[in-house]
Amino acid sequence: MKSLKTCKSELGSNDKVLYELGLAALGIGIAAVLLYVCTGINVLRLNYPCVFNKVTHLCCPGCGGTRALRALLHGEILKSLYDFPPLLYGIVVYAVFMTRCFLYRHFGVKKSRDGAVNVHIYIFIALVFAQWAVKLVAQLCFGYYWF
Amino acid sequence: MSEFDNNGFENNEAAETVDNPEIIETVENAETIEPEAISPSAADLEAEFEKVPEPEFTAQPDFGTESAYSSETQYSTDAQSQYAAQENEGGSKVFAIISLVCGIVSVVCCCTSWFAVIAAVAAIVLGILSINKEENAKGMAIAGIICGGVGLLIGIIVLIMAAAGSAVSPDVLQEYVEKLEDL
Repeated sequence: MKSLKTCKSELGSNDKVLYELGLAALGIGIAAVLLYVCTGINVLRLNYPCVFNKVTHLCCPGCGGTRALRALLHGEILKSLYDFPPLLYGIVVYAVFMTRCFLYRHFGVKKSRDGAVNVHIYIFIALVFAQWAVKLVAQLCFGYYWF
Repeated sequence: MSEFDNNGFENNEAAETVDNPEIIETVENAETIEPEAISPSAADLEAEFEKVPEPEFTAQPDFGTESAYSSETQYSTDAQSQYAAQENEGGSKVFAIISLVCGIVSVVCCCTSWFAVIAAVAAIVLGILSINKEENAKGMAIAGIICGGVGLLIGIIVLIMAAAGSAVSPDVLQEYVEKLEDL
């Protein structure tokens, strides 16, 4: 098997900041896993009530996010897409971006230009607002509650 | 008798020249003409000729043993300048990126209204700072400000309605307290 030649390369300013934020998010995820393993506390089961929903009886932009993440961890991809569609897209973009940055930084594997991931961030934001609008329309116009 | 006996002149010509009294008198009365100065003074030279401009010093390429090194430094300088140009072109977008991330967090996590308000305020402040200080980061800063604005609006609506006491019932607060106690 051909060994990867260690050739450290420096990320661009845009990707560097996003990479470090991604590492911080990964650290938070690892901390949550360790918390569950050590103490048995499942942060996804805390299920704090949505104050916006309780007050306005409408779904907020992030409604369904926790349920979608729980479904994804159980392997229920369709249910995850139904509850919060941008989550799967965000996780895929995050995984691909972090992997390519890691390989570029430590092994010099070619990656896209600096800042190419920004368009995917904009798409994620657009998906969040789009699914929120769909849920509001379904609730207000058709009386269909998404939760 | 040779034809060149009279001091190199031909016989007839030499005899007529020497014996003519008019010619002898002319020669004796001739003024001695001093020869003109051959070397002109420095002032004359300056007046007559323009100053030749001093040649510009041009660095000659070194064709010695350091040619390979100079080519390598030239290549590395070009690579560094290209990377610096790319870096300058991209610019530092730290504020813009953090503003965008805070804006996304404030929108997605608006369930917890206090956390959403804090993240939204941070997104708006950082977005404004980014627009003022950072170049080529306007798009991300504006997106962060918009997301922060939406999160702040949602948080403020919830807080106002909760403060008005018209919609929030004690059951919600009780539920929060129970969840905290479960921890």
